[in-house]
Amino acid sequence: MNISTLVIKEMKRRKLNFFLGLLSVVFAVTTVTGALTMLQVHDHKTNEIITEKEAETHERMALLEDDYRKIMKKLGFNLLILPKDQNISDLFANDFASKLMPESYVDSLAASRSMLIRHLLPSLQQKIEWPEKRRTIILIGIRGEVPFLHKDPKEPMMIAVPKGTMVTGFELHDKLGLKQGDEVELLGRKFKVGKCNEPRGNKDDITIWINLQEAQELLNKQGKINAILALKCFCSGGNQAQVREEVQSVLPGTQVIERGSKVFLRAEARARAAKEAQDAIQAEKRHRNKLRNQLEKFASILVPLVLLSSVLWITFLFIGNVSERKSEIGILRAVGVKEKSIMRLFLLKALLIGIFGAVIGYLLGLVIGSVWGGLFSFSLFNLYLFLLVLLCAPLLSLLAAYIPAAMAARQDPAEVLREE
Amino acid sequence: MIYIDNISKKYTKENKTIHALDNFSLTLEKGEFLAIHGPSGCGKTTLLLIAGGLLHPDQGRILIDSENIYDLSAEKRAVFRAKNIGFVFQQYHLIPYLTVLENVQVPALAQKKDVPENEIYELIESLGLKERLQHTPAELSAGEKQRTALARALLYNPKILLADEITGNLDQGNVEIVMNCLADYSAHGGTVLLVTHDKNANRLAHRTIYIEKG
Ligand SMILES: Nc1ncnc2c1ncn2[C@@H]1O[C@H](COP(=O)(O)OP(=O)(O)OP(=O)(O)O)[C@@H](O)[C@H]1O
Ligand SMILES: [Mg+2]
Repeated sequence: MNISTLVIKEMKRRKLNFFLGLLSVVFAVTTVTGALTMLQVHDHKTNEIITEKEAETHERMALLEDDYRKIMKKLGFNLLILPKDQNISDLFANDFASKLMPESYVDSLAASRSMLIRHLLPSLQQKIEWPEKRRTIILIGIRGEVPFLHKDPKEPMMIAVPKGTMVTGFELHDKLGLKQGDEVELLGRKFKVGKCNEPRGNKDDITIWINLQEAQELLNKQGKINAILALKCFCSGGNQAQVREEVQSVLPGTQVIERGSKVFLRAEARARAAKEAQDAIQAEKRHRNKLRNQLEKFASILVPLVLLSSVLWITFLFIGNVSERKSEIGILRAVGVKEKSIMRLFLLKALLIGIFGAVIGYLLGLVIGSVWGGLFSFSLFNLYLFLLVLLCAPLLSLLAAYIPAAMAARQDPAEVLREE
Repeated sequence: MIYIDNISKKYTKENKTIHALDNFSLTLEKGEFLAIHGPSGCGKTTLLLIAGGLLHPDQGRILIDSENIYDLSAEKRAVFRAKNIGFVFQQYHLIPYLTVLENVQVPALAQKKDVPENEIYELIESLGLKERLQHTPAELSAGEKQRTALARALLYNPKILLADEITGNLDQGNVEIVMNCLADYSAHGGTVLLVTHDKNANRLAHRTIYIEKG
């Protein structure tokens, strides 16, 4: 027989005492492991949520991107090609361009192999008094789309106004009581009203469109135009500068400005949506972090409390055990067992309780923590933590039992053996 | 072989000093069977504990085989006890969660070698405990308990056996068994120091002394 067999026999045959000690360690280890597992589950879930959110955002952004691309394809963006000497402030102030450039520019541009520009609409425009009706109008001569030579002809963007006809803005035909088919005189030439426009709420309402050649004749600007509108230019991801460069390389005597387009608003909206999504993810992250901090705070209070009470519990349990075994200690001393061995008798018991408690407590904590956190996964098994617990629980148990064990070793054997 | 040389022991409790032993001397030869009796409180138990190296006397020496046991460190004294001394007490001091067989083997905790099993069984059988091997102390009669305690004390065949009132709780039959066992042990060269009230028990002792007071 040796000390360890005595320890094991005592634990086996006095199960209650052993289980009470074990319970204490299990309780402590379960709390620690449970708390850490819960935190781990929390982090795991946070990752999941954030990843999901990010994927969702990504998908939404991809959809938006696709939308945007489609819109871009339909809309393109509009450029206004003007004579180089056109003052832009005047253009905006007067609602029309006043400087002139040769009509042949359109054909040069159309003959270029530009892949970015699509529809070219040359125009001659001037604000004039309509002498016959005594009204200020904007007269615009247009000739419809100029087809690119290297591309398949597409359906014309704007049907050219046939010679001898005019298209009138709403304000004009409304106030002057003009109807489609009416005959009307403009600058001494007779025109048939080809079309009456719906109200548009801008300068178009006081505009009359006629054939470009007729406009040139009426205004005495043969072979001249003021502007070329390039519609639906390709533009993905902001290559406006490239378009501009291309135009200017073909027509050095021009300047290119951009007509305000919805594309940019859309792009902005898209950026805003992306930012909002990012903000939402950040907010979620903050929320999860806050939750984690609360959990952590709770655990950081709970765990030391539990550890302390567990240590005290074991200490008291061992004090009880030592006093219960006074007679045993006395006789062991009488047969020549050394003080050191008496101490070992109790410390070994504490060690075994610590080891068993660590293993049971760890598994229990893992289960409770994952059930509580709502996630069960083998990835939660943390070898490092397990080994740490397996080291620390027996150490704490030894620490707790140390004083009672020392008391047992120092007990005076004569005291108990004398008792009758 | 045992010289109890001029020992004194006093206890102080609540400012009252009790002289349990006062300049007490005694010599025991190897193989001697000495019975001590005397009134309660005269210091008999105190004498046994001092002789067995469990209680430091205030004064005097205990020489066993010319070794002054209180000159030894506590640890060496424990080793000395394990080698040379067997104790039997009136209260048995059996370990409650161990069986008879295991209780008898308890001294092995302080020994380097285990006693061969057949010798253990022989000893147990000689004390009539063969049928009680797997019983725990709670399941034993007083006589059986005391015989178990005696078997435990004799397991490693110590040079000296110190027995304190071991027949106090026993009937005549058990007293016979126990006393015969002690006589037998003494006959084989063991020294017995027996404290007893039982006049009957003294028959087997070689020498009986009476302590009046310390
Ligand atoms: N720890 C102690 N503190 C104070 N007094 C003690 C202590 N132990 C023993 N005594 C006293 O010392 C004296 C001797 O005690 P001891 O136990 O040696 O007597 P004893 O002869 O064995 O008596 P009994 O025959 O009743 O067993 C007694 O008066 C006892 O009251
Ligand atoms: Mg006594």
